[in-house]
Amino acid sequence: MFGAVLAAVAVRGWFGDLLDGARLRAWSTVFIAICLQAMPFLALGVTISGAIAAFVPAGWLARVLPARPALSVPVAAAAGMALPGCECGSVPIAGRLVARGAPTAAALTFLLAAPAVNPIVLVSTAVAFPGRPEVVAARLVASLIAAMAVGLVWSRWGNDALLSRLRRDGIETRSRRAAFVETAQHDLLHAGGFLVIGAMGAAALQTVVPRALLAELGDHGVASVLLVGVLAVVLAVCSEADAFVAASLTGFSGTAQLAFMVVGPMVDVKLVALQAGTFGRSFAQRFAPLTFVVTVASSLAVGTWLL
Amino acid sequence: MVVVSRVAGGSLTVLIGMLLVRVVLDGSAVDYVQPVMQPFLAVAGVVIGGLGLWALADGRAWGDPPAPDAHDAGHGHGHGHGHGHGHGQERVGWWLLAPVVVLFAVAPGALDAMAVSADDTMQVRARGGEWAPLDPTAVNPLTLAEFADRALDPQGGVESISTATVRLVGFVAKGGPADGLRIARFTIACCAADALVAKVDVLDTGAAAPPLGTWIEVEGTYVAGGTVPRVRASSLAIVPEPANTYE
Repeated sequence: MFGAVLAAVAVRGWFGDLLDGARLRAWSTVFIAICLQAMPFLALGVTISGAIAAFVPAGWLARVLPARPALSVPVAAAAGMALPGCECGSVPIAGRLVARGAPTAAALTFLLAAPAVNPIVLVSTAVAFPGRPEVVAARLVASLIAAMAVGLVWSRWGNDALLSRLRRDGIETRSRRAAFVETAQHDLLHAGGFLVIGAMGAAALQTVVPRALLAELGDHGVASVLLVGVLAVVLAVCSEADAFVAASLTGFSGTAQLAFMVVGPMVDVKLVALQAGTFGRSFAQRFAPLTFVVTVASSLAVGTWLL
Repeated sequence: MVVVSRVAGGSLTVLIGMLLVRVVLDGSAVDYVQPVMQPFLAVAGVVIGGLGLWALADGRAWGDPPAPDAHDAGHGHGHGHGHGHGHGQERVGWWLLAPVVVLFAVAPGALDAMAVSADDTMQVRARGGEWAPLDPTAVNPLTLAEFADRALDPQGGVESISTATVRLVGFVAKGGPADGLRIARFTIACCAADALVAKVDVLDTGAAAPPLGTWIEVEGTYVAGGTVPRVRASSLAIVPEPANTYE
């Protein structure tokens, strides 16, 4: 491994020249930026995940959380609001919650709510839209509705068997300390690996899809809400920062801007890679489209109502 | 190599932690993320590096007795995949080497003039609201983004910059008027992935424009019109690249 790094340093000269294309450099910058930006959140996420493995007894979550999704889902949404996480940190936590026996609907709602609505995200939204508190309110409401709706839909029609491999939580707890270290490190390398793959894709799409294109597309009602939703998936901007990008989409309606901020934190390129890695590909194939449809619908409804 | 062995996993984790601390210490972190993120990166680096050291130390203390990695490796491919939990790591962890290699091999640096396209009409947010009045008797330093915001806001923004001299700093970018030049600068909220570019055209600079990427300080006054906000320069100077190239 260290050999690979040394070799990379050795060939830096010609390699740097080879990759001197403006686009490749921009790709590298954005790729590194996404990785660096995610690391503090990932570190927080795997620390919590390790603590869950070490201190939450198996089966305890299933006992304390209400069995009925109608009750456990709002509890999970509230828990998600309190955690100042981003997408990258909430995936390993949600995976660990499922592994420890939390109801799937509640864990999925937590997964979606944690990055979408938390104090940091709401404050940055208020800064990006000065003098427009209704945008912050709309984001909060639309995100909570979407996160809970996905949890409830999954509890009704979803297939928990898709998550069965997570339940085989094969950590032999030699000690709490060992459980913490093993889990945190495993989740760091696992989620980190998928994060890197997702960041590569997001950076590539960013350098290929010019955001300038959007300024000229103008507003076409529902079609542009869908378009902006797709853009949010493709650009994969962190939930703490997406309000600033949304605010720059000046050619679009408030509802379309809202969709950018509601869709992005719940389903985007790097997130799908992370979810596929943590929960399995067949799960992600169903979960990502479901989340996309629900978030766009929620944005449309709340945006029409509040903005 | 089917799985990341315990020792390799620990070393990889330590390496990531060291990388995070390093980009903060050598100042290159601001090429990629907001300066405000630096302490968080450093803390994350210490936490991750410590986690890796801890995992390595524990692994050695136990002498890795059940040798789960050898076990996984022995059973070949499919085995390590499904339940890597606690038994070594899955191969995907190796991808974490990619940012390390890119940082060392390419060292891409901040987004620069080459990342601005000439026909990119996207502007920073044109937000409404109150604009702080500028001092008409002095030179007012403004970020390019704020100048563009004001220039693009017909309700009060334009008025606020019409009667004062401003000082702007940016790099020479593609495009711009025939008899002048265009300066630009990226604004980031969190990291370079959310970068937005602000541009200002400087009119009547006369002589041949400096090469792309040259950092320029302009003092001048707002000129109405144009899709890109415009100033007429009263003074123009080449300045060194700022430590943080973003606004």
